[in-house]
Amino acid sequence: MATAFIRTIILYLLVSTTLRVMGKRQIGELSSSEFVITMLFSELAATPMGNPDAPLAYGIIPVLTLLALEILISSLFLKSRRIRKFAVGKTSILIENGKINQEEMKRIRLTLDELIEEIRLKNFINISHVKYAILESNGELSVFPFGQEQAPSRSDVGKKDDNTFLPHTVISDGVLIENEIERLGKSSAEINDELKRRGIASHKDVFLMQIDEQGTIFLVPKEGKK
Amino acid sequence: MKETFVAIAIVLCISLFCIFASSYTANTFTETQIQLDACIKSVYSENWEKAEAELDSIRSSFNKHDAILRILSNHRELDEIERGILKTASAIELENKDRCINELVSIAGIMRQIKDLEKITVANIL
Repeated sequence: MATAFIRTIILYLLVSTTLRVMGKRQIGELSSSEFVITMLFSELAATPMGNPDAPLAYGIIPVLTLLALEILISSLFLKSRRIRKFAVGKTSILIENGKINQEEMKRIRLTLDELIEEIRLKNFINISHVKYAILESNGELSVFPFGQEQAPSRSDVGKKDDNTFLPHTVISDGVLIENEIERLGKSSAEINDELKRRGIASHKDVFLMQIDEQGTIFLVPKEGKK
Repeated sequence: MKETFVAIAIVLCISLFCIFASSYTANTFTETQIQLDACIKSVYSENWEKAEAELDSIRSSFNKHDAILRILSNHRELDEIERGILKTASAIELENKDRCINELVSIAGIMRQIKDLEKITVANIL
């Protein structure tokens, strides 16, 4: 029993570290080779986890081999566009200048219903509004409408001001986040003064406090505290 | 570039580990095989005291390598070898020649099987 427990911890740490080394991408953004490797990891790690007769090395060695191969292959991708194209695939232009590329749809075995569905998922009700539809190598469809179908931007309506400011979380669940406070050019004392002005005795009573670059404060006190 | 070197280092380490595993298993079992042959010879000649001494040396040599072998080979096969040694010990005590030979030969068979499976051959790879 204890062996299975320790083995599980070792394999969990190994697979987590391996996936971390591979990169930060989400499952939906994995390329085909990355997806295959991720699936294999779980299988390989599970074998010695559930079978106490198999040495742990039977799980560790394949996982490390896959990690090394993945790193070596991605280095090759950086060096050769042709290899990358072969392994990851290329993007497919399904609609070009409003014209559906039927040949390309046939090649990638995508039906018209699937294309229309994907376009609807991108919030375009009518396929005739789409100027470009590109199937990316990760399977995601990028859709670009004709100019007249695009929502106007603030500059289109003559508003040139930029009112987008990144909020920094300075208190999270009662804990002061020092590096975020420093990034705003403030100190913990200033934050505590601000809290006192708002009738809150300590940062421990705050669930969330965010301050953006313009100084706008968003404050959520902890429930049951004032 | 740094990551590529790490990957190459991992591949090299794994290759070295595999070579070590293969040669360690082969050496250990070849050594034990010689002791097994000597034990079988003693049993054939019904020299039970000598057979018992030979079996003791097999057992101590196997126990010496057991920890490392368990990292490299399937535990079930190693357990079978251990069980075989125990059965042989009782057969020697009872001076049962047939059972002794039977157990020793099956231990030798399992050892040969483990050794062969560790070899880097086309048959094993495929």
